[in-house]
This record gives sequence, structure tokens and C-alpha cells, in this order.
Amino acid sequence: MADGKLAGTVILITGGARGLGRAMAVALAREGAQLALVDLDGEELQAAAREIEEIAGRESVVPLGADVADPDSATTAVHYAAENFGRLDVLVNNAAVGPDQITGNFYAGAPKFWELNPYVFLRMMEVNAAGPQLMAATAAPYMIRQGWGRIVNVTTALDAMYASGMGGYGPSKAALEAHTAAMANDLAGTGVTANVLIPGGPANTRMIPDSTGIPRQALIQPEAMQAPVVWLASRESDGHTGKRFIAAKWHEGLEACSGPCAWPQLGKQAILPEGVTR
Amino acid sequence: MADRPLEGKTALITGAGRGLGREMAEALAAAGAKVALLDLDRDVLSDAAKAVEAAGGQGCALAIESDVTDRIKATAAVEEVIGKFGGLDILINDAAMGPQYFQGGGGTGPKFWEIDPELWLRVITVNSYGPQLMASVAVPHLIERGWGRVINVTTSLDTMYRRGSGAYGPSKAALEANTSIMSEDLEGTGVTANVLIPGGAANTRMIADHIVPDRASLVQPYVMRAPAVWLSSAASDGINGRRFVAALWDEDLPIDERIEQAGASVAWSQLPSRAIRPAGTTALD
Repeated sequence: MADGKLAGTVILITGGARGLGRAMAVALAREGAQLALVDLDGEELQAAAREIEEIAGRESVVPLGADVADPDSATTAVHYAAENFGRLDVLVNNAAVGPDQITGNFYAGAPKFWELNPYVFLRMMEVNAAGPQLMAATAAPYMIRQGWGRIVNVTTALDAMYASGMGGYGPSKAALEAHTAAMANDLAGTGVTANVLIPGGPANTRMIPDSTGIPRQALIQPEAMQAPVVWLASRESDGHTGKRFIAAKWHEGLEACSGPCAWPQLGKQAILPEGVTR
Repeated sequence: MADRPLEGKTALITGAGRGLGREMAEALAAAGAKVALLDLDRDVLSDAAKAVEAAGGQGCALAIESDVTDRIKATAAVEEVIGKFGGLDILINDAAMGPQYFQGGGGTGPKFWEIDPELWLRVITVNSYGPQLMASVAVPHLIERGWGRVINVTTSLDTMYRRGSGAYGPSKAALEANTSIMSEDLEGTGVTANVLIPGGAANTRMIADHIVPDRASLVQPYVMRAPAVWLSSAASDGINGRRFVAALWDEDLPIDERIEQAGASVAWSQLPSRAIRPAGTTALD
């Protein structure tokens, strides 16, 4: 249990009960990390915690039923994790309301934007954009005090952010992508980094329901997230901040699988008065 | 008629009580449109409505105190416009909570962990969800008439990820992405969705005096006037899914060159980063 690259590292993963979150949790536990798993789904959360216990032992995992969009619930989860393990090193913001909440098959016959339930759009913004901010704002002070830490935000492919048929999913991820760049900027010099990690395309999770008709093996498998998240959570990634990493291209090497967060390649755009940098 | 290209059109402008919204309201009224001004703030609304009537004539303005994040109020506002003016053609989503809400007394703006979570969420709700709600309520009326405009005010692409502005930039990134989605969904309906931005820090209350004391050095709100009128008019038929920078809109140029200079595709579609997708699928993750 004390062996591995991540021995002594405390990691909180949201949406840790299934999908990408669970695959990442398993890989991190195998490397000796201690894990707080946050999820809304109590039953799946217990199952995920049992799986982690088998890998890393009873003392290495704490399941926390919490809603990342609820200020009381989210902040309590972060503080509990930090107090339980005595520190907090890594936050993986993975929890999200997916496009499956809009329709069973967003590739065909998906609702137009004016046909969406406004509540689902708003909930996507709350969980997928405001939730990560809430978790990160609560977790960052622990990391800054320690002089080391990681914030890993799961967004989506840049062109999926404006793909029709998924309601507020893409826009909410665009907000998180932009915010990750701002987070990295705020964290400069603290030893804490902020980066984006995405699978790189539709992944084999419940977000892509069977009703899409896509064979499960044609999707990116959640295990693709494992090697890059272990690297991001380790000392090996020191100094890498404000970047986005594409898990499906991880095997092609660091250069090939990464780029800057958001869309700075499009250059300076805003006309600002002299001396104003923001 | 030539200088009143919006004769017979009705526009609803959110955040029309001041700043860019009021400027666009006056410009559209001067161009012949009936204009419904929507704002949270009753006091600025009545002044703005008077200015709009001065620009466009008696009876051309309708002031509606409302909230773009309230589904019932938003629906009632659209119904009130249609009841009063007999229809709705143009929606301009201008209402937003700006960076000034995060910047307080000055300095370099707060770090992300110093921000009140309720405020962060409120800004996302007003700036990203508000336009979605307003557009989803208004657009069915526009589609029914076979012609219409949705114009969303976002911000410069690099302002979306600039630090120190809290949720402002991220909320505008979401609206930018959603405008692309809107334009795709509206293809073929006669209704278009585009982005119009000033092009930099503008001389409105969003940029506090302590940040830029020399107000003349800011982009002035009047730059929004001409492109807002053009986007609202039949002259922009077929222009869909584009973003226009008002400060680059040069009336001395022939229209095609003007469009070329001030326009780009919406969002960040110029970037090569694309999802790896199973064969036969066209969108997603």
C-alpha cells in the first residue's frame, strides 16, 4: 500500500463512482494514492469504494456522497477528505451531467436548443462549470499551504463544446476550459498546477448510451485516462500547468498529446487601453 | 426608408437600461424598429425608454422590468412584447453581470479561491443560462414568422480565459459555444444566430474607473450601433454562426470588405483540435 509512485498522495475525485472517474480512481489507487471518492450515487459509490479497498486497503479510500454544485455539500466533502487523510494534494474535477440527460441518441433526432428543458441546461452549467470552481476554490488553499498540488479538470474536445444536440453540455465544458486557463494563471508560483485532461472523443461511459448505436468497443475506453492521470498526479508533471492533455493520444508522447488550455492559438484579440492587462 | 432599414421590425434587447444595451436600443429605434427594453433595474429603464422614444418616435419603446434567469418572467416578457407590438423579430442578449462584480476595490482582481461561490454561480446563471432561456422562449415565434435574429453579446476570445474576472470569461465562453449551437439548430429557418462584441474593454460600468481612469481610451459603446442595425436587418440575411467585432466595423469600407474585416466564425472552430470519433458519427465528446 505504501508502495507506488503516488504513495502518500491524497486525491479527491468527483464523479468517482463510475465511468472515467472510477477508471482513474483504480489507477491512482494502484500507485498507492489515498482516495476520496465523491459522487451523488450512493450505491455505485459503495461499489467503487469496495473495489478501491481491494486494491489499496480499507484505510486508503473514503466514499463521500455529495453534490458538487451545492456549496454546503461540496465544501464539506473537500474539508472532510483533507481532515480524514491529513492533507489534500490532487483534485480531479470529473463529475458532470452528460449529454445522455438530453436524449438517448444525440446523433439523430436530438432536440433543438429551444426544445430543451431549461432546468437541464441550467443544471449542466451548475454541475459542470460551477461545481469544479466550487471544489477547486475549497481545495486550492490546502494545496497552496503545502506548496504542492494538482487540479485536473475533465472538459471535452474543443469542437464538442459547440456541437448541437447536447444542450448545455458543450457550453458548460467551454466555461470550464476557459476557467482552467485562468486557474493556472492564478496558481503560478504556488507549486500547484491546473490542467485539463480529456479522453479525446466519445468514451465508453453512460454518457454515450447504447441507443446511439455505437459499438462499445469503437469508443475510447475509460482506461485511456489512467496513465495520464497518474502522471498528472505525480511529481513528474511538475511545471506543466495551463495545458490540456488528450488521453487517447498519450501513447504518442507528451508533445503530441498536449497543447495549451482554451484557445490562445487564436491570439490576442481584445483591444485594451495601454497598461491594462486584463 | 433607406435610413430606416428596421421599419416594421420589433426587437427585444436585454440589459437595455444602460451601457451597450441602451446604445443598441437607441440605434435600432433610430433605424425604425419598435424596441422592447428589458432590464432588472426599473430606474435606468425609464430613462432609457425615453431616450429610445426620442430616437425612434413616440410609442416605439416598451420598458419591461424583468429577469432573464426567471422562466416565468422571461416568458411573460416575450408575450408582452408580442401583445404590444404584434410580433417579435429580433432578440439581442446583452444583459450580463460584468467583471466589476469580482474586482471590488481594485488591484489585480481576486484569485479563483477567493471568490464567493454564490456570486460565481449567479454570474454563470445570468450570462450563460439567461440567453439560452430568452432565446428558447423567443425563437419559436421567430421561426413561425420565417425570419428572425438572435444576437448574443459575448466577449473577446482571450478575455474568456483572462484571470481576475471570476466567472465572467467562462460564462461568455459558454455563450459563445452556445451561439454556434443555436446557429446550427436554426439553419434553414430564416432565423440566424450571431455574436456581436465591442472588441475590447468598453466604456460601461463593467470597467471600473480605478482600472481604467481614462475613459476615452476605452472602446466606446457607439461602435455597437452600426453593426447591430446591420445584423438586425434583412441586409444580413444568410449570415449565420459568425462573430463580429464592432470596433473593427468600418463604415467607410464596402460592405463585403467590412464583413470580412470585422467578422470571423463563431467560437474557436479555426483550431484543428477535433474529437476522435467512431466512424459515422459527426459530433460529440
